[in-house]
Amino acid sequence: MNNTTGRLRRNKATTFESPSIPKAFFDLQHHFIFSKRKAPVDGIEAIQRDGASISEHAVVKYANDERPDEKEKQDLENMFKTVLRIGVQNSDIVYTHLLQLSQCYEAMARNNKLIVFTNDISVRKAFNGLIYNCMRTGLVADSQTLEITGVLSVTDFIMVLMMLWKYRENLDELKGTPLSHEDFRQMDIAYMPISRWKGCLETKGQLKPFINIGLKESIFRAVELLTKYRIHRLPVMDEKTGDCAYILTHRRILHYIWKHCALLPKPECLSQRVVDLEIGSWKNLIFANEQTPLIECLDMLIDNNISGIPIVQKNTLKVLEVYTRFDAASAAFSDHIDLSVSVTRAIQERDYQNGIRRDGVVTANYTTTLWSLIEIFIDKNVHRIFMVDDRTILKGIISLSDVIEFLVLRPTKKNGVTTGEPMEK
Amino acid sequence: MGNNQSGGPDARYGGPNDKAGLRRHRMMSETAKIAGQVLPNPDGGPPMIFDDGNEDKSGECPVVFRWSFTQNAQPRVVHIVGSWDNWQTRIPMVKSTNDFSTIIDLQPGQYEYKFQVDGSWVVDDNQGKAQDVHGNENNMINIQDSDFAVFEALDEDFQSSTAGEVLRGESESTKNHDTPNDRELEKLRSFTQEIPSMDMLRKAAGPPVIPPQLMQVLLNKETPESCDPNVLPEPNHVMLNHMYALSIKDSVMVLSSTQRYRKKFVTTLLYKPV
Repeated sequence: MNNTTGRLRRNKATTFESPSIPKAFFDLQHHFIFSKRKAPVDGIEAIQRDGASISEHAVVKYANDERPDEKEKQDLENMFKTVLRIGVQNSDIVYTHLLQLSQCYEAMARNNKLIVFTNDISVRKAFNGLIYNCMRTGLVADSQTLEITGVLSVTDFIMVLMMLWKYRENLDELKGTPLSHEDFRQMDIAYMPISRWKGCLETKGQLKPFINIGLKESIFRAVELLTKYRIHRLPVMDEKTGDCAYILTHRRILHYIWKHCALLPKPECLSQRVVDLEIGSWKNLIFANEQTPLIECLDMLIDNNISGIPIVQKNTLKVLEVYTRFDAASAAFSDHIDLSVSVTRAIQERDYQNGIRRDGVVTANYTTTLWSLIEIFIDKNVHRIFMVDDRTILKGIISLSDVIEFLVLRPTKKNGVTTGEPMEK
Repeated sequence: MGNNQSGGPDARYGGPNDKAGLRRHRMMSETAKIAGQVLPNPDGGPPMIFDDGNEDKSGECPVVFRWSFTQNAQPRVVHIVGSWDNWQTRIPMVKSTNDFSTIIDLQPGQYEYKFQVDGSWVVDDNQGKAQDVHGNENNMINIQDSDFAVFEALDEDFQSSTAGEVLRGESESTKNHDTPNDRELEKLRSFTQEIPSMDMLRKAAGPPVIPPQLMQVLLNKETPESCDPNVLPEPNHVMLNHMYALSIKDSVMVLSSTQRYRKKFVTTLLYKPV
């Protein structure tokens, strides 16, 4: 690694101006050595299921613990401790093993902020609380027992908004007229408590089950749950008390990998182009043009279960803007809620809202390497990057969940197909 | 010197009184020692400082009675009964490391008393004895005013000291090296059942101020734009397990609290309608 060229970024192992990362030359056998007590049980089981072997070793302990015990036993306990070791067969699986051996507690920030709503609060007031705190997800607790029973996110709010609008469109005398803030306040759906809203979703079959994970389970298990149920936020609960510690997102997982990747061997795929690795979506892209009505954009967001769509020029597919679910949620604070306006005008009105941060459009050339793409995700803190060519014409879309799935889950599937025996030295 | 003079008249009565005088002297020494220890920290016992204007307590002297035991034979309960109330009340004595003791207010004079140790009537062989008209043997004690002159001297000295002046609220402008601070004044004050008058209440200071660390509310801090809105700065440890409340707005109550989980912290906001 040539560290002398260009300025150093936050990680000494990287240089931004490096044209490409040279291929890793593995002449050493790499191992993960970890404490048996701290490693997640399900992570160890996942490693053994993939055919890797875990060996126990006694190593000399350098810190002397004061432990009252029998004399002979005490001497042995003070001298040695038991650790587990697992070899890294190939560099592709290194991030998978890192997450399998890390508890969800490790990815926790120093001080985590949580919002809990009781289920007898109205939907409108709950969304006001979310917007006020710039949060995307709040937890829902039973009003009697205060046990956490579900989550409430901006997706629910978009569905409320769409339901309101379509209901008014069916009335002939109100067709096409904007929904004023006063009208919104007077409607019954705004004062619907959360419990009733969850009941409506259940009757429609749109209610998602409450997916959560324990603090001592592995982050690998969390990635499996996020991918399987196609959710973005996973509450991490204390197994004993039922309290929530924080909400795990793809972004937090990527930051955790980023913190540790300097100490790990680098997979070869990081220096390859993302278009060759087939990460993300490159065909049948979902986009909107400048004149698309807002209600159709919301339909695309909800029906395709995506969090943002690019706004492109009509003829050339040139990327101009992005419209996200969080943008839609803030529409409730304008004086008039009009879902029939064009998405471009909605974005312009959105810019005048005070105190709410907005994710700008982030693009990257479709020939970018995976490592550079990860750096952009880390720096910009966005959930999706639009892959464009030299003329900013849309070629593909890569989201954070695509990258996480590629780094963590793909080596497991690949390893499952190829049943190779670990090399013994 | 005064104590020795008070013993003079007893010497005229001959041999048996000489022995009684010696025993009384030992009792005086113990009483003075107890007074020296108890006076700086009055704690629930009989009042140590005399109030001559109070007729109920005028002339009464606090007398210490003690029953000693060894570590091998520790009684469970000890009572004392005396002729000061015509042998009516059995007074329980308080157990300490090596003895049972109690303090009784008595008028000067001669009294007889007896101990009940674990249900058995016992006479202390180390104290004075006497026989009543029925032939029973009891302990005997003679209370004299001069035994408690030390209390009056201490009280007079305290009243003239700087601490006494500060307690009375006099000459607050003059301060010297002897002026006590609030903490020292707190120790000198005693607690009673008397309700203070309105004037005293107006003079009293307000409650203590809130610690300054608690005024810095985590959720009121401005987090930078680039930061994750789900992350807060690390809290000061005195802020843990406190409850903060936002004023009720739109019929919604917002409460927040910060707890520690292992080495990290969780700040939870609860939105609840009222």
